[in-house]
Amino acid sequence: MGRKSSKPTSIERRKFLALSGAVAASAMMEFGIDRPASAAGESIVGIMPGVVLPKGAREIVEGTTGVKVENAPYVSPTDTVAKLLAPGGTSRYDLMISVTEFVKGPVLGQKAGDEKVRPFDMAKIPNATDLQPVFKQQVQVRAGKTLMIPIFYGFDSPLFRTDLVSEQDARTQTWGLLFDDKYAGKTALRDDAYQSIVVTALTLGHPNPATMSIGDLAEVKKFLISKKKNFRTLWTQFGEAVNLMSSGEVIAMYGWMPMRAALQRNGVKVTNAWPKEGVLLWNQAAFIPKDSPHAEASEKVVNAMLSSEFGVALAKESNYGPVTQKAIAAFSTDEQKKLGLDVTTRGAKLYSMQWPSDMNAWIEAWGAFKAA
Amino acid sequence: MSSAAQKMFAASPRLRAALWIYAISFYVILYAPLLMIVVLSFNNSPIVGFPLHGFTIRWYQKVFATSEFLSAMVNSFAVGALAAVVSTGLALLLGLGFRRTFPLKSALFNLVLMPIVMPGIVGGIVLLLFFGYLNIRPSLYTTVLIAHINWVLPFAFLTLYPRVHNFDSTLEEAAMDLGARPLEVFIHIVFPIIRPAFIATMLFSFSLSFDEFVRTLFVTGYDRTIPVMFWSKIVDQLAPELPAMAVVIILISATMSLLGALVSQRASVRSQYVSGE
Amino acid sequence: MTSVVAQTRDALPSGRRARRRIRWSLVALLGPAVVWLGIFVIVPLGFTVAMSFWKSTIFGTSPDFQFGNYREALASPLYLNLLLKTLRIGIVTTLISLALSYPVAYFLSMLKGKEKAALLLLLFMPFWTSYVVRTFIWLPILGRTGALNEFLMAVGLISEPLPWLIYNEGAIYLGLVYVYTLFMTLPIYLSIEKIDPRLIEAATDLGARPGWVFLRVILPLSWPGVIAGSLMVFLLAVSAYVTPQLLGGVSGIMFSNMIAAQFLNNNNWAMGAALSVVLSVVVLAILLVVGRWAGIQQVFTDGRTR
Repeated sequence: MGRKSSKPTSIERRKFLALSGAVAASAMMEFGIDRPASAAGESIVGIMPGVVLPKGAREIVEGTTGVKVENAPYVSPTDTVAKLLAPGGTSRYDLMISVTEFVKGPVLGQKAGDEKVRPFDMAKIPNATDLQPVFKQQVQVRAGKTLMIPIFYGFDSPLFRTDLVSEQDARTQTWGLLFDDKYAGKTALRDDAYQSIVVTALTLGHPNPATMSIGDLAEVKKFLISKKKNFRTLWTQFGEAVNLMSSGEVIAMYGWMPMRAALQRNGVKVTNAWPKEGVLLWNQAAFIPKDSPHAEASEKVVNAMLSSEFGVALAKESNYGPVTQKAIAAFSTDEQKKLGLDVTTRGAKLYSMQWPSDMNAWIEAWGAFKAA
Repeated sequence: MSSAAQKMFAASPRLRAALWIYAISFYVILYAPLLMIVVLSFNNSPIVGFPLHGFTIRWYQKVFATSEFLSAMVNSFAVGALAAVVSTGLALLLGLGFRRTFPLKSALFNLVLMPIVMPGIVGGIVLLLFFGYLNIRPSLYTTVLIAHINWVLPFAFLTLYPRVHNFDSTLEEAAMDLGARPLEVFIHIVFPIIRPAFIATMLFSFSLSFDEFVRTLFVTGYDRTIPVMFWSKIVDQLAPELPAMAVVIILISATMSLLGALVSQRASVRSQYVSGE
Repeated sequence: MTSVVAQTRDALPSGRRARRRIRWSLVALLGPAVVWLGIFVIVPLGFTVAMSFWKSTIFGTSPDFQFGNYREALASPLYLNLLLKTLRIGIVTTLISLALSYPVAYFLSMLKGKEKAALLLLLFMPFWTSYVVRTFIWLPILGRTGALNEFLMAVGLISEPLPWLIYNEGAIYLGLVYVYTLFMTLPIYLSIEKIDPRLIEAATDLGARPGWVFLRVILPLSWPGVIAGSLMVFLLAVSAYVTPQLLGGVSGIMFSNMIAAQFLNNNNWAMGAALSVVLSVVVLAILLVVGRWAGIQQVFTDGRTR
């Protein structure tokens, strides 16, 4: 009868799949679990934005310290904090770099003793003396112990197409460029509650938006909603923002420092404005989780990141700003202007990123703006 | 389906023609973005998008020189295959069980659906904390695989169950009366009939796992899957080689599915031959 | 030579011994899945619910039980409005997807052999373009300087680019329906596939018109697939947050965007958890109500209808 027909199908195929899966799995185990072993010397596990270690910068760090840096995938300051705060997180990673203002709250904890990070042995970080004054102030210290050290900075400003917006136009001297009816339908903000509300508040004349009252916030929200039709869209990703400008979909937008470089290098006629209310200055700092097993290696890496060679490489490859004076001095004044490295020295107004007094209210205000 | 029934099925030739036109338009629109990706993958510009700056294959060269791309591909395929097998297997067992009545059935049904209802970020963070408490280190075949199976299982169940639902159980009962044991009944009666749906569900499950990235981002170790690798590239940089990578992935996946389909067809032709269907 | 299946089809049904053998294996069938769900779904779920009652400050989340998050979520009109908008978008997306995908599923089941396999495979392929890639591909297609506008202008249909192809609610529908096509088409196709053709033959032999055959025979028999597909698309659309953000322009916000914001822009995990619980509860409630009418119970939770 047909019962004993050799059907080489269903069960066999499933078994085969499972088997090959297992074989592949065991082969992959070599590369998978726990810490990947490095050929020689130590290795540390890090979480940091990809822009911190572009190729040349990484070679400098790994070359001068002999320490290999293995980076776990980085999404945002949130997942960095999540991974640090998760049970066991303080021993699983050796070095983290993230936006200082965003992470310092959970990372340092409310009071002494709550810190999730290990103090730096500043004797091992001689390069830290070279920090620019504005960033020396950003070093997070508690009870005499240094807990977070800035590694690089960036600034946000209005970017605009010089072929479509005249540089002589007085509108380019203020963040109001993005709200102006002359360019209605052709501007964009970032889809970020903090950054967008800050620049709106700055435009309305608030000297320090982070300390705004709830009444002020409501005013800002009302203004934003009234200007809703002026914006083409709100961007979320780097490439998306760059594409908006390069394709001409948008002619002025809230932009990051490296975006301008990326666009200019690609022949797009774009520059950034220096609004009288100030450009948004932020920095990302390094910190070592409390129970890291390779803290000394991490300190070596941090010191290397504060060297002028690293700063130069970072500026050239990632177009973000190095925090040390020697690195900036390595560029000519013209180059500094081109790369935006003169932001701290050219006398432009700066607004340093500062965590708002009520972020929850800001998030809701932004949500209400989008939902309106 | 017999050809007479096929004719009945499609009713009038006008309806057949209308359906063909509709289907072709559907597929054309479905593929328009793919075409755009192909076009952009040859664009000689570091900015992904218009305007076009001339033809180049350097992004493809970059793709094949990127070792992390190759390892991410292997990772995605391995996790995808495992997730597909486990999820579809669990879904099949669940589906067979759901044919009966038992207490708390709708509660179980809602429980199966929960991973879809929970937004990805929440699911990811909660799993991260959960694994942290259990002290399970994030890695590909533990945390990532679990997150993927969680995500895929409800879809596998929802896809496979309707096919299992109306299965004529008198066939099974008859076979058991003839002395067959439950496992034999399954292998020789039930499975051959639902096999096409089973395979389709496996392929579907694989695709879901391959594409999953929000939950994966939170529970991943060093070994990145393709979507995680893509995401870490675009979040704060230009990634001009991305369209080229996407095209390569589609081609590889399509080729493998084609092979799988050919193997499956040859096997089913042989089995039909033997059993004289 | 007749197949095993044909043979057993001719045999007599039922027998007490067989039923008893079938009963014990219920544990074997449901066991593995229940264990899995118990560990990896219930526990994290419980954790989420617990977290929703905790307090998040800028210093982190601490397990101090409080209702503050829920008070905020339920009191503020923002969340209620967003919830309604999200449900509306979810329902409309599902209906559009159903209308567009059903004919394709029907079409696929009409085919046979290589044609069918090829077109089925082609249905999967767009799904393998990574979700990440799909997020940036729409601007070059629908933007003012995008391919569609260029095409329409080249053909002479319009003289100025259309700005409303993207960055509005319509674009959100386009994005969602497009990316979830497979989820709707596949189960419907599988359902239609297994409809016994003799039923259709019989109905047509008895003189029924094609429209009647469709409404009274094919549609009800493919209902489980319709339900499965609709469930998947609805649940996915309701928790969408990347697509609306990318394609919806200044108003591209749905409920999950507020949830995401709590985690990505803020450290308020407790609020994020509370909002997730609210969304889940509302969605499950809807499934309960609509489900009864649509027959979800019959398909998924009652016993065999045969």
